[in-house]
Amino acid sequence: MPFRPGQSSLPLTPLAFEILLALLDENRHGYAILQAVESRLRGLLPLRTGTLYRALARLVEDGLIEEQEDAGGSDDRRRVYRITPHGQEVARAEAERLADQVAAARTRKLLSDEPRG
Amino acid sequence: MMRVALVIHRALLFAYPAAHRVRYADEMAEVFAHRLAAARATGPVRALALSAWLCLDVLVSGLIERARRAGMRWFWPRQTAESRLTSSRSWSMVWESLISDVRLALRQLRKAPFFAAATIATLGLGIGANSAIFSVVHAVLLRPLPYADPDRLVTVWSDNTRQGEARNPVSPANFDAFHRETRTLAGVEAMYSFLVNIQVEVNGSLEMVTATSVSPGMLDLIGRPAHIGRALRAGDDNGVLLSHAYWQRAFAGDRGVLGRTLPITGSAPGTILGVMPADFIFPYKSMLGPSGFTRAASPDMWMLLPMTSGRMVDAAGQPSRTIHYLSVVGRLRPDTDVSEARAELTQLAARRAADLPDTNAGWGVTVLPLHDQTVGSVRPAVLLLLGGVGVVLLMTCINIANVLLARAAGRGRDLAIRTALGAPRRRLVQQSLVESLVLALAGALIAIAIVVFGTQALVALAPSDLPRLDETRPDALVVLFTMALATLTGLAVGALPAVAAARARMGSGLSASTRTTASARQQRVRAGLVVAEIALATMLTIGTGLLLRSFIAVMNVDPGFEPSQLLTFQQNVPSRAASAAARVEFLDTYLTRLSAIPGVTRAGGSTRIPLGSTQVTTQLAVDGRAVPVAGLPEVDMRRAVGDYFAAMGIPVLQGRVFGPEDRAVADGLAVVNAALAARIFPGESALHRRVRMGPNPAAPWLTIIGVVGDIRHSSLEDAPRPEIYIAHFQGPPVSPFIVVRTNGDAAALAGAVRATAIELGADPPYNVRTMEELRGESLGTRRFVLLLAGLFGTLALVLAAVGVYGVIALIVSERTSEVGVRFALGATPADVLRMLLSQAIRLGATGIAIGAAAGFALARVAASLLFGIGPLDPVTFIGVPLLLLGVALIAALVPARRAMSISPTAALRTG
Repeated sequence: MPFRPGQSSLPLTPLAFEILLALLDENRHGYAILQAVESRLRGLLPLRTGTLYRALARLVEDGLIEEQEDAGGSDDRRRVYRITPHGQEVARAEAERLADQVAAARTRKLLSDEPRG
Repeated sequence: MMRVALVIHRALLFAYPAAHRVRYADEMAEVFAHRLAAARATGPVRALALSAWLCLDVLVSGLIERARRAGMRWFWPRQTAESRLTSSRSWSMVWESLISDVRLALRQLRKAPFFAAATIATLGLGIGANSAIFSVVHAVLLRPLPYADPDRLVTVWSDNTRQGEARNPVSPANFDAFHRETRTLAGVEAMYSFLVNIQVEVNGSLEMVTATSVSPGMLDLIGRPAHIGRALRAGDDNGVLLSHAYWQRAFAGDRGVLGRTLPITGSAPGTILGVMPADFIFPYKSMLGPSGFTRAASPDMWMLLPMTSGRMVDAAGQPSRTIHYLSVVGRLRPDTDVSEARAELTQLAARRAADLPDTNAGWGVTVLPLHDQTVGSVRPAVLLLLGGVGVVLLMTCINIANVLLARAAGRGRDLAIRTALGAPRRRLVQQSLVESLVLALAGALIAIAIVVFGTQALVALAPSDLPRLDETRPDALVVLFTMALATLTGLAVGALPAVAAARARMGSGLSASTRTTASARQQRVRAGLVVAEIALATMLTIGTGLLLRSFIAVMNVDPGFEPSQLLTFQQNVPSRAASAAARVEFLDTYLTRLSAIPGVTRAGGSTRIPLGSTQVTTQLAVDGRAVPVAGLPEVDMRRAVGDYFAAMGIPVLQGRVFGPEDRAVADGLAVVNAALAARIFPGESALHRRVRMGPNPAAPWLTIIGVVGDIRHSSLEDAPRPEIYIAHFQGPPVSPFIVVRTNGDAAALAGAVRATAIELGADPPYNVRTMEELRGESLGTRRFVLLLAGLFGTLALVLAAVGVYGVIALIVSERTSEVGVRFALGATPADVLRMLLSQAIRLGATGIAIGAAAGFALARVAASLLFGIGPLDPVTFIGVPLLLLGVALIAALVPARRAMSISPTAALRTG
């Protein structure tokens, strides 16, 4: 595979990718990310809080997401996470990589040709 | 319980490194709280499982994060590009490695079957005992009461501030006021603050049942629907509700009982309207506060309280303001809490005190959650037991960890080879943990068996005054607790050997020398563990010692009467003796016949038996003192039948007691006890003074003719209360307690007594017990707690002894060559013995000092459980350390004596 920017972080762990997906729609705080990921996966990936926060810490370290203090409305400051442009690049690269793999699986008849809803 | 989980989670967050904690800890705690709250809706078992799972995750994740940040790459390899490609396979790899580790552990355990069996058995005992006690804690303290939404139920008492009695039953007038005027309570209902024995006719035969009378809305307030039929409501004046147990016992569970008539002696027949569910118990004995009843645990029958007649109203037909005998239960509105209800009712009581000072001045209210009222008094004892059994498990873990450490030290060579062959340390650590987890989980299977049998044993031993103990059942929650505890134990026990495995040095392990001398660090760790064990054993034994001393003190309390060789029972006066005169005649004849039984020295009776029943109280007015009704002192009132004082062995201090010459006397006579004389007539003689019972000015005056000694009535631990007795011929009771003194074995008289009653055409006596039995029963909870504490204390001593033995034996085996050298240089066996024993004493003394300090702190906290001794009881605090020092010395003596017989040449050769 030709080297492209953002590829040094690939492949992402499944959890990291799910977190980035959750943050593509909107900025969320920790519990909301957990709920979004759980609801999307419908229990296929059991989420543990400790693991989630470790993954969040790693993503922040790697610069894929960043933290924002959200002083919106109520008086308790909530930390909200935001995907960075670098993070968006990496997420796109990962999605492409996965799509590539899925295409290969389709060629070998491992998956049917119709895309899932 | 949620609070506990939150606290544990917070504590476990410390597993994370400080940097991570500072940033994320609050958030993580919040997320945990949210998830827990969401899970609670799905049920308590799942909530508990989820919280345990999440807490474990926090612990493991935190440690991993720490390791990562500390750059301990050997523990968790840094992810390179290639390893990231394979990271999505990491879960299955871990799974496979776990399976192979389990297989390895099983192989190694099979090679050492005795070790495996002993360890599994020990762990099983420790875990099982803990789970059994946990199931008790769950049933008694944690499980909600069997009512609808039980957390919203409260109990209301009148607070007699003048006499310092905060939980006084409520008068009908006050209840009426609460019922009508409260805004914070959605409903307020009442019942008698005692259970009554009534006689019913079932299948042609008469039997006594325990019943309670409740106000019309009470069962609706409690909210449990009937099992069959329906619950009582307003208008069911002759309706009767049966308990599930009684329905099974008397009617064999026949559903056709509904609508049947139940003849009740001395009252209109009842109609059976329904049967309550099997787990429905209301009221619990402890809910009835100080006026509970005899040993009956719960009522067989519910009936309606006649709110507008009988004792409930005064001469003018208004709810009585002066007699207090109702227990009041209320349900909070959804938007209020206990403190609001308390504030409102306190204000209400204050208003009434101002409006009706003659009856209500000085009377406040006490409002408690119903659950607290029911189990609050035994909470300290039960929690103490939980702590005690936890200490035993901790000590078991320490012992086993020590053993595993020794095994690990012996396997240094094996580990070194594996490291040389490329096994990452992570695998070695994992292996070690898996082995201890396998042991623990195997122990868990034994533990579950112990829980099932242990719970049965505990329930069988259950004292009647420990509420809800008989509801203990091993259920899914307890099994879950067992598995969780086993997992924690396995990890705790395996942690030290795992760290030792991780630290295995490659070089030294492969050397030819098989010297297994422990490094200084290892020796320190072992010594530290033994000191910890001795400290724990000291603390536990001190606790047991204090409980034992308290128990002995209570046993030695002089009850004020002579409890031995005394038979007690209750006897109904036959209903054909309807008038007072007829009742007196029956009682006189009955007592005469009883006295004629061979072996009987005295016979008498009373309306209440000490240590076996409640008290009835009355207000006392004194001739010559003008005191408003609200200020009248409340004293216990009894009727003395026949030769009561002599039969009981109660001394006469002044004057005399009732005798046959008093029958012709028209005026009322009374006998009081010393406590009453001291309270009402301080500094003067009570003899010949006149008093009147109750606030009614038309009641007759009574002249005090004698003062008798004080007795302990409600329990051996409570101070004697002021008591006034009137003679039975001036007020004959319908179902008195009879006491019969004998010069032989009291229990043997039961048959003769029964025959006498039947000869006279009366019902057979019931509640037949010797006074010694009653005394024993009144100590029931204390004895139960002491039994278990004694068991734990003994186990702790054994474990501590084993621990000391192990350490000294290890020292001996390691220092064999050193000892040989000493012998060769001229040391005597006595010198060696002294050296080893002094080591044991050093360990022991350190442990004992720490344990004693902890024991003292514990005693201060659990002071409510002590009786007759202070928290720094010298006998215990001197005796226990001496005991433990002795145990440590004896445990060290066995291996030390072996050391004395080491032959120098043999020792030098092995070194």
